[in-house]
Amino acid sequence: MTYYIGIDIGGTFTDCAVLDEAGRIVTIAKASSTRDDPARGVLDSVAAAARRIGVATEALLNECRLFVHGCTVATNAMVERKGVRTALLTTRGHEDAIFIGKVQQKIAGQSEREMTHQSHLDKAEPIVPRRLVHGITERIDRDGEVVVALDDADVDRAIDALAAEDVEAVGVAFLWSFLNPDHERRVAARVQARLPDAFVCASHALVPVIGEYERVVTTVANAYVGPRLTRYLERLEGRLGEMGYRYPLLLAHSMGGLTTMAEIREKPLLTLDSGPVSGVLGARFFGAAYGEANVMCADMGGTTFDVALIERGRTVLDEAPVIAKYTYLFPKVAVESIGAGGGSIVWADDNGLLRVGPHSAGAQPGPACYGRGGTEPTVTDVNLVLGFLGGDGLLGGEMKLDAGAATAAVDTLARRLGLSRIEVASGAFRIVNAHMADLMRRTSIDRGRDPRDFVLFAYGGAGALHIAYLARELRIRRVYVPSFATVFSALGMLTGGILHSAETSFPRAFPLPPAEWEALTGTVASLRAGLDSLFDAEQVPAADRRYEAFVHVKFRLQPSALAVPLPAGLPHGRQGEIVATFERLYAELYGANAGYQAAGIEILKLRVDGRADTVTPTMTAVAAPGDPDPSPARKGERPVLFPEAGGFAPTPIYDGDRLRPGMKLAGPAVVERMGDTIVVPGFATATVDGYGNVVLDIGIDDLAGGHA
Amino acid sequence: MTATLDPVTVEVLRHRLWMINDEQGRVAAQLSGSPVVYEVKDFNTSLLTPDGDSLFVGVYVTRLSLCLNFAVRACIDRFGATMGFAEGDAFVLNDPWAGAAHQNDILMVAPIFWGETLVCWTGLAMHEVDVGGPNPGSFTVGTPDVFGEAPLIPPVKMVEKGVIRDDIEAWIIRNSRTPQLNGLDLRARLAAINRTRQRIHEVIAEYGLDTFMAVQGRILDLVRASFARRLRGLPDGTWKVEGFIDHDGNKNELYRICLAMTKTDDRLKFDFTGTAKQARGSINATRVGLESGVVSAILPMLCYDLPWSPGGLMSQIEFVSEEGTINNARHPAAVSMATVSATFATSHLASLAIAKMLACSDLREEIQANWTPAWQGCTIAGHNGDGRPFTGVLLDQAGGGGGRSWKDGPDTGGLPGTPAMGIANVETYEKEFPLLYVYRRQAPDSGGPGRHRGGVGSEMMIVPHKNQGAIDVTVLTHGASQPEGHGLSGGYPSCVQVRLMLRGAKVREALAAGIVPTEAETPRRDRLEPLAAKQRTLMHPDDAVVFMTCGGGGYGDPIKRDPAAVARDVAVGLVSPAVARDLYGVALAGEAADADATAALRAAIRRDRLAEGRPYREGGGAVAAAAGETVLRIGDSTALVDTPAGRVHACQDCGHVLADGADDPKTGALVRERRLETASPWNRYGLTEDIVIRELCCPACAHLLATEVRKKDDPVLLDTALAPVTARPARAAAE
Repeated sequence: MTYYIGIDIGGTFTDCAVLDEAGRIVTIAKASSTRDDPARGVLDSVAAAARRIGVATEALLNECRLFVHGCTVATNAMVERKGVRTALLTTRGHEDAIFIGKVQQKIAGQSEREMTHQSHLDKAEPIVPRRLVHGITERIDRDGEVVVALDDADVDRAIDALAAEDVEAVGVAFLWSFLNPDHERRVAARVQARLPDAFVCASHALVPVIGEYERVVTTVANAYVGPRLTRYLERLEGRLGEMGYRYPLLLAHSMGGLTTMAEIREKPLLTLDSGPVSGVLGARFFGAAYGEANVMCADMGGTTFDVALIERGRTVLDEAPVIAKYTYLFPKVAVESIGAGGGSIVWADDNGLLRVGPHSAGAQPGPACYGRGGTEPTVTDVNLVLGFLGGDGLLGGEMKLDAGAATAAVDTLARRLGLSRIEVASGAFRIVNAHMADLMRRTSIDRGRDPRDFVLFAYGGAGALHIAYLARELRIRRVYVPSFATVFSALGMLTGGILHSAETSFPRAFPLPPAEWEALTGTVASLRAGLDSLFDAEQVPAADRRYEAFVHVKFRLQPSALAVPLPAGLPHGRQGEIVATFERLYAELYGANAGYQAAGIEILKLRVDGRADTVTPTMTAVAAPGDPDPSPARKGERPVLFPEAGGFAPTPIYDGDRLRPGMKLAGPAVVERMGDTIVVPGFATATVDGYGNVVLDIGIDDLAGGHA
Repeated sequence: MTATLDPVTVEVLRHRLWMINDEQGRVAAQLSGSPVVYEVKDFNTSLLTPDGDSLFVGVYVTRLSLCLNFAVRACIDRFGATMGFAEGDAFVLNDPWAGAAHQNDILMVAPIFWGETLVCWTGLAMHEVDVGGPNPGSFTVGTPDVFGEAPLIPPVKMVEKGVIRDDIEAWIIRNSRTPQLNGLDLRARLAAINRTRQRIHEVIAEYGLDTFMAVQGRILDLVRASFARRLRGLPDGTWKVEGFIDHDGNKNELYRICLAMTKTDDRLKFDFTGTAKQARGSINATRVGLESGVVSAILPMLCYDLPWSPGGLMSQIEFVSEEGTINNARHPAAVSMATVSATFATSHLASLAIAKMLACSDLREEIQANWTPAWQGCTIAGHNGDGRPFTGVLLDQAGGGGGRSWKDGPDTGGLPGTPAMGIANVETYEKEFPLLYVYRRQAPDSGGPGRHRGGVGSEMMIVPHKNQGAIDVTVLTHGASQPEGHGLSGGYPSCVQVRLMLRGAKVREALAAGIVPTEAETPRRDRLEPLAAKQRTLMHPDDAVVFMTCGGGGYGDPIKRDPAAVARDVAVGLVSPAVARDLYGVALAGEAADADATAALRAAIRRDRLAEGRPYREGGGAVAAAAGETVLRIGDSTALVDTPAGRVHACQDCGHVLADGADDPKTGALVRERRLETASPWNRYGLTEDIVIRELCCPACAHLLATEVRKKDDPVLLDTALAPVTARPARAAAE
């Protein structure tokens, strides 16, 4: 037997998914996350999986061909400011760039609601103290020419100061270093020679593109999270090795792929947000298996609702993502988020209007029905009052819900509003759905896409309950609720394949003269050569490597660009095809009369992605579809209030564990699974497919007007 | 279908329409070619009712908050009864008497139809780098009136039923030195409007026309009700503020703006009586600037947790202003610098009045001194090394936030009322223009001292680099002669705005020799020339220019600041040792504060305040401390106390009775005048001898109650007149 193991560390649980060589899911398992030593939670979840399979942990690991890991160590280090003591060497005169933060640091990644509260705006808590920022006498200009020669004595003085400060990591980031990295290289080498134990990062090696603030942030943040992450991963790799694992550990990264320790040692910041990103990969993978190229991913948990898109089989990248108010430049699979989840608080504003969120009761005290002292009603309480959730509760009954407490919390609010319990509950249900639908709409329409062209993938603990209503709001006809939706990230990362990416600044105006076109193809080739050396180190056979090059194109003067694929071997004479593709993409995004050719069209940067599939899980049907009659899975009924029905009605409840491929459930119905609850309203039907996933078909044609 | 306006639908649609307006702003910022828009965010967007009431404005420059509303009204007034409107139309204008803040802001507004019904309007105001006129960058010095500035564009139809009128578009960009950029930005506006139109149509298709029409009024009603409720929760009274605009583009004269803000029940009145007549120079604002300026203070300070729906506020606000004054100018006043002058000053003083009111309220976490008082802008024009011309505007002068009752102001926090604003990278500017930024840093001593100090501003030095000939530079700001970032509750003002031309500084030679100047005084220059608030000059190849944009005002008496915090500020270069000693009374021993020496310094400062201060009122002097029940605390400084002898103002520190409860507490204070230079080393560059800083302190314990920036002969500004406070809960123990 050969196993493939995916591990995703979340805030509460560490999830484990195990596949066999045919890509079938062998088992899934969870263990509590262990913040102090995440490796313990990882090994616990592997042990739990081994128990479920009925083999020894060592045997499982010994027969494991691919161990893929996504962890939150870097994310937590940034959010909780728990990185190592880090210093920055930067161009003299520009030491404050990271503190000035282009001024907008104070609102980076904030919601509108936070942005409008002027008296509470503040910059990020620094990840490098001002006293550890040293200006170095040197300067390069916009042509890459040296204006001030590098002063080696100055460098040595700075290093002396750092040596006295027990610095563990050092970022080196100079102005215009992406055009001329000589000074950065020399300084980084000097620091490394004199502080051999320090983790030294140079900006040109990480993100050779324009924008000193973001380049400094990327460099410093990378330095800041590196040592802790590397220590953790090396420890984990060591323990896995001792327990029998024989291959390199693979890490999930935020561009939506896997890489090895060799790259993560250099670019630890790549692991930010790899959990949510891996969920998107899972949706892409399953989408492809279903022949669905356009997928919208909806992940609703306790506090946030995340949305991501897959267009024509591709993820969408955010070129300047934000972590804890810091904007950095490693492209990341775009995941949009709002504060809406099971824990979102239902409240009355000063006009007596019903509101939901964005504040959340979180895990502590949590919804009133958790019985942990929460008294304010939440979305989960509302779902309990409406009967969508049963008192038996979550996690297969491991967690009971207190219906009395939920009702009391909703009633208190209802009295204040002069409304009935049901008006409050169904109103709150409608409002939170509308807020989520607004985000889904914005995410798709921002990309010039019509939501109706997508199918939906719903995962996360709370998503399946609301998803049919969201789909109807957006006129989306088909929703997939995967089995194992609660370990979707762990599964998803197994489908990523190795992905390495390299980019570099390449400012040129179209049309490029032959010499410049040669420079372009030469630059692409050298980016590719860089990726090749990574693959070489990973012993990935050359035949398995697939490359894609992109030219980032924009109208002259614009700051951001669209990635246009560069066909391999495109000759100089056909560069017009790139311009044509750009104009088509631009019109798709912003409308037919939005382009303005008179401004000129130019290149911002070049990027090359290199992929190599690892094991490709193949989705294998668990069983051939059988009898459509769902009654064998029926475990009872309870009154449920579907808002469109107007009142409580006895509704069949199905046991997710007993669903079999081929079963068909006409709504209204509720399916209770291990980690989530699928609500099937009257306008939808649910089918269990051969993979054990639940497919909802939403009756859109029956919709008239919609919102009476 | 009939309108079904249940409260849930209202909430659902409110959220959705806010998102639509937000999306419009994000599209415009993404597509613009100008760092002024995509990084500085000098623009705003609005969704408006069919009548032109602003349903939502974006989180960008709130000083543009009412521009689109004025613009739509202008279109309705001019064309509503004549040529009318059709789906797909869009109008363009930059006329400050028809909605623009100044000529640089090109506005585009468009009606949105559903069938035959006009269902709403939408639009964007965006700052363009250059819209023509004699001065590159279009901020015009040296003109007495608007005829010497960039041409005015009254509302014209640029897009007719979805088709761009090429003739109109060509005319709009023809006068500009940056026609391609302006053309690209026009398309960015159109793209944003296209998007909004599509999204509004979706909403109506889903909810029906009646619901959509009804919900607009309901959204405004709800905001109106919330705003009225907030006002009712604040004390009644009148708060006075005064400030100046220095330099009119022709000469350095101080123009006074007077504001008495009266809050009665759920209404606010802004009375500008006494404000200077309109100037013969480009610093005036029209009525658009006056009203937008006031609303830009209200939104972030009183509507911080409400939807930004100006249309819901206006019924609660009253303006008293005489036409022909500097912030309510008549045609043909020159107005190209309105946004950095009269509009900003109006906004700024309204903020100060609101802060003084909040200081008398329960909303203690909302109390914040003035932020940076204005842009410190700079337009440039010249030739690249290869001979290509360039025109640009540098808007990377980051100011600081005001000190708060509970925390320092954010350092280099930016500008008030402009949450999404940012500055561009140095590399962005150097890529576009033949300049070299020698340094750009946080400026020490630029934040107003206080128990919680104002956030510091920024300082930068720029030299020409690889260009041809001289660079034509126009600088513009206000607050160059006098500090305008006012302190609160005994906090000090921040400093003056500084622009220095270092003639013959030969920075290039220094750099080549391996010396990087990191402050203005370093280079060996021939001559240091402080530039006026508004000035056009040439920067020659060997010159260097330095900009220092001041920070925010301080909150509370500086000698009450935690000495450890002062020591930290000194260690990281945000406060100089001299200011630590002279204003904070903190003595340093190494990097830490020396406790004994600090106590001695602070005692000496108190002695000086008492010795040099003169009573405001003859016979004012020590009276016994009052025992009684505290009715109201005013910031850090005074408290209203009910004593057996009646209601009095007392010092919060020592309980000394300052004045009768019906009087201004300042009437019981000692008044000391201090030269500007004593407050910050930057003030040595102040451009007039006429301005002083006044301290008002408790005659018993020397606790600093207030500071003010005044002309030498001005009387003390009695600024707080509380209506009799009745039946307000005591909150002596609130902190």
